[in-house]
Amino acid sequence: MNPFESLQPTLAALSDGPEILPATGQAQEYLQQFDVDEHYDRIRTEGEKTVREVLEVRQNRIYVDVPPLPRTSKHVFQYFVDGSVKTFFLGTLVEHDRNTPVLLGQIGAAAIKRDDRGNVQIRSKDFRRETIVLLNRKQISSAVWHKAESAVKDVSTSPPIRLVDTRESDAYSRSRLLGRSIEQRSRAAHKANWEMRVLETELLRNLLARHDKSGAYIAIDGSLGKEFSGKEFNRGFVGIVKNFSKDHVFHLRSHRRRVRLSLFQLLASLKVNGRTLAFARGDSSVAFWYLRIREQQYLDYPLMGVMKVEYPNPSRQPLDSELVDYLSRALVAERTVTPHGRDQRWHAHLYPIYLAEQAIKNGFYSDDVLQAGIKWPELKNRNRTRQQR
Amino acid sequence: MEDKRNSSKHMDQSEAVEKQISGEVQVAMGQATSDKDSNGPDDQQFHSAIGRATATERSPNSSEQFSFWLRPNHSLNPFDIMAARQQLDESVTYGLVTNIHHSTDAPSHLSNYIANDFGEHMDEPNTPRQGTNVADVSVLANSRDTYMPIQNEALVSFADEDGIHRGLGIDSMKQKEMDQCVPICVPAGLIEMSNGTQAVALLDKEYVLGPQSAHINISGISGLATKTSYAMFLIQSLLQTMDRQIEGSRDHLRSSDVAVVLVNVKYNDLLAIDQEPDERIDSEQLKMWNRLGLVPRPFDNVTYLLPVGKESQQYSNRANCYQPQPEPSKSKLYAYELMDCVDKLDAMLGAIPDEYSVLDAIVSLTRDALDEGQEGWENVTTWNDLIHSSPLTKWAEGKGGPGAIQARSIQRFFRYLRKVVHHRTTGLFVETRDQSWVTVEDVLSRIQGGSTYVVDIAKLHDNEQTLVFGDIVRTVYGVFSGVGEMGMDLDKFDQTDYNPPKKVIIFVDELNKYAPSDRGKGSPILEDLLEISERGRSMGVVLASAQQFSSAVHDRIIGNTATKVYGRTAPTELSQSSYRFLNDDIKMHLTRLAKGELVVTHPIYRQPIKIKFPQPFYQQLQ
Repeated sequence: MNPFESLQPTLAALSDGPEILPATGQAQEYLQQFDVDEHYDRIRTEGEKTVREVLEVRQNRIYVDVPPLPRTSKHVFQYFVDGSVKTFFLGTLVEHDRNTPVLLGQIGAAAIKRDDRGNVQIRSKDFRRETIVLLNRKQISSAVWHKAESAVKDVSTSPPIRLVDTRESDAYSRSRLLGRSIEQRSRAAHKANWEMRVLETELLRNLLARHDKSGAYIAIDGSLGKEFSGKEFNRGFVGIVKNFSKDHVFHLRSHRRRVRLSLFQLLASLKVNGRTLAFARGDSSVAFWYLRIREQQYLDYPLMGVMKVEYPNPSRQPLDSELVDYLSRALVAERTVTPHGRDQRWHAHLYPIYLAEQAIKNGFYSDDVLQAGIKWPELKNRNRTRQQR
Repeated sequence: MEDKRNSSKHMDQSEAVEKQISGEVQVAMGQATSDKDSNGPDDQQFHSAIGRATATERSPNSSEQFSFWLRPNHSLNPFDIMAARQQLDESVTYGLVTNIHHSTDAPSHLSNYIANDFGEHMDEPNTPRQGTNVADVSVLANSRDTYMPIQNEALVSFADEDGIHRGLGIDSMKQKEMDQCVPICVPAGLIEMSNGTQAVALLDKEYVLGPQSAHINISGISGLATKTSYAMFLIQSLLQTMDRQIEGSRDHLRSSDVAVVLVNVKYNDLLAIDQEPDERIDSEQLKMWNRLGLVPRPFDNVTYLLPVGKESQQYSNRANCYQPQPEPSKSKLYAYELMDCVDKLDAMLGAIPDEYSVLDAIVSLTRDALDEGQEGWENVTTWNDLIHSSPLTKWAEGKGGPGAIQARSIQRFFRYLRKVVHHRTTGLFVETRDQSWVTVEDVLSRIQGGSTYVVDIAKLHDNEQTLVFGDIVRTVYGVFSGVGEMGMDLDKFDQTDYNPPKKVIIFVDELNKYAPSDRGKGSPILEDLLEISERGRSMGVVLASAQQFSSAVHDRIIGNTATKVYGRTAPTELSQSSYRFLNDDIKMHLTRLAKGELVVTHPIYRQPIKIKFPQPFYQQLQ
């Protein structure tokens, strides 16, 4: 049975009128060539290149030792959240002089729960998946959009299908790099990423609602953007950035002396089992620090083995240094085991987050299934009509 | 009535198995676990399944085999029999676990080293590496004869006893027993699975005693393989099975119609098989006997045939056997004088190299002359007569002689003969037999159904053992091949109303001595053994044999053996071609079988099975 059968009415509706320029060989995976993590971190810290404010109580040392606090001593992080997205370019819809790329996105988010013995599990309530069809609503007539929208509503499938307007505003609409002005396909790919992030935030929201009972901390993959600015996200989790923006410059002050450090300088001297001071991001609503979880000598590059940790700080007051140490120590202990050989970012990756990502990806349909399963339904008829003409 | 009861029971259990593994659950990475957690009606079904089938690009499932992953904290072992739900028609496929692998998401060992903080981390990792145990299963059978590959995600659980029987094909054997109202199923041991489920392994009598096929061969390294014990248990099981009633009726073949000839080759292993052990039977052993539906009991009606030795010349009742000697009332001493060996001289001298068949020619000449009482041979009746005062003696001295045979060839014949009957003998060859002494041929040519004969050859030299075993084989085969022939009425010197048994089971250990493989040296009785292995089943002669190395036995004998049993076997032996039919994984398991564990192949079984069996119930002398 074709798992994309239920998508056919939507594709039929979209192709009922507009010209279709199908992707060669039908659906093609749309690959983003740059490092998405770093890209988004750069966007989230746009305009905040210079870091001046230290955001923790204890400020006497730039580097702080944080020896590992293993799960067997204290099980701090018990949930790990990640999302994943896979987009496929299906073709271009052309109406008069307007056109829009049509992309299909398989998106998902999952939270791994780890018990005190280290066993991991994903409960169904902590697992989300969706199929989204992305196109620029402004580039097609309302009639086509509405027809496609009602076709989507008429089908009930698992995972559910949604139509997404790539022009819709989101937390990054004002970004120079991701705003409305960028090329349509890239915009659609960003939109798919955003929809995945929305799934992640929903998962996190639910987990945090239960957090008060468990007291367990949650680690979510990626930096904390505006999507986490709500009240419900004011505690209990950290964002882990494996690959972060390297643009920061740190202006630090000590006994009337001012020091300017590039991120490279700051991290080159950061020892294993050590963290930097916690700094303020933007309006201080997010604190961040760097944590070296692996020995430099074993790695290819001084910035490898370092993760950036972000922590929500709605009070905007300096953080309790003990808490930063506590979280950092627990994160250092997460270095065993690693997805070495499976993921290039293994040196700064948390294995449970990698597992969550794998769980989502394993649930996606393969390229072969997708390519064989998705066909523009009107193409045959059109070709036949053209031949008759 | 019983039929109906039985088939409805089968139906219920079949449905139960299908129902038992029909619950849905999602535990694989990439799918979320059930929200029902540990409650709800589906939960019980979930708990009986221990994993799901898995088919991948590189390791697809097929009609012959499938793989499944195991749920955490569940374990199994090779030779466990599993039931998998065939989703296409809701039938159940049964399969035998041949191997179990553990794999993780680490692409290399180096990754594991690095994952443990470059080898520095010796404590428990914060998140243990994700791994799974995957079992390979060889398909045995399907409840609806559906041999479509087991589909990915199919639930897999341990088979119950009925499932095990259905998987192995034992259910059809049981059905045949019910249909024909004759005992067919011979308990051969207990199959014990990792989850504690037990099932009786049954052999089809028609494939053990004929007519479909016959013969049993047991191999395995000495000491651990318990070959003799198993042979004795199985013979006891066969005898008891024959006397079982099915629906009030019995088979025409009863234990009283079957004779058993056991060759004792080691110590006094089989010299007290008619006596109960001194110690009470162990409760575990008794439980096993009961589970198999058998009664632990010694053999009835046993006659021990013991060889005479050098001391027997002085004390005619003293046999050349390991002590204690069986009671005189149950035993007979046997010996060979010249006239008993006339037609066995070839077997006596079989081990001597005879490239140009010169010795063979002299043996033939001597046999003919003695048989026919040719001129000059009338008074030759003892070994000494033959060597010192027969026409052969004169020819050896160069005085005349028969044609092409040279004097020195006859001298060589005498040299060997002297060595065999005088110098290197245990005393088996005598000038004249005592009145009470018998020959093996005397006794076995009038072999009785319902009797067991133990022929002791433990203390004999190799050539003597070959002679005696050859005598057994030829005599028994002669009895059966001559059935129906008109013979001479010997009046009081014979039992005129003698009726041979319907079947004879001959058990011998170290078969490789008597039927060596093509690669090994020849044997004077090889032809007789080949004859039995190939045609014995049609006449009622069944060979139960054992040896350490199956590869050392002649291929045609192993090839004609329907039921093969393997104890622990050395890896070098398993590399031989005679084990080629076994799956590589099963071969490796043969190297680590425990004492008392055996692997059985039988024509009815679709795969070899591992069994254990109770110790035979008789006095095992130390």
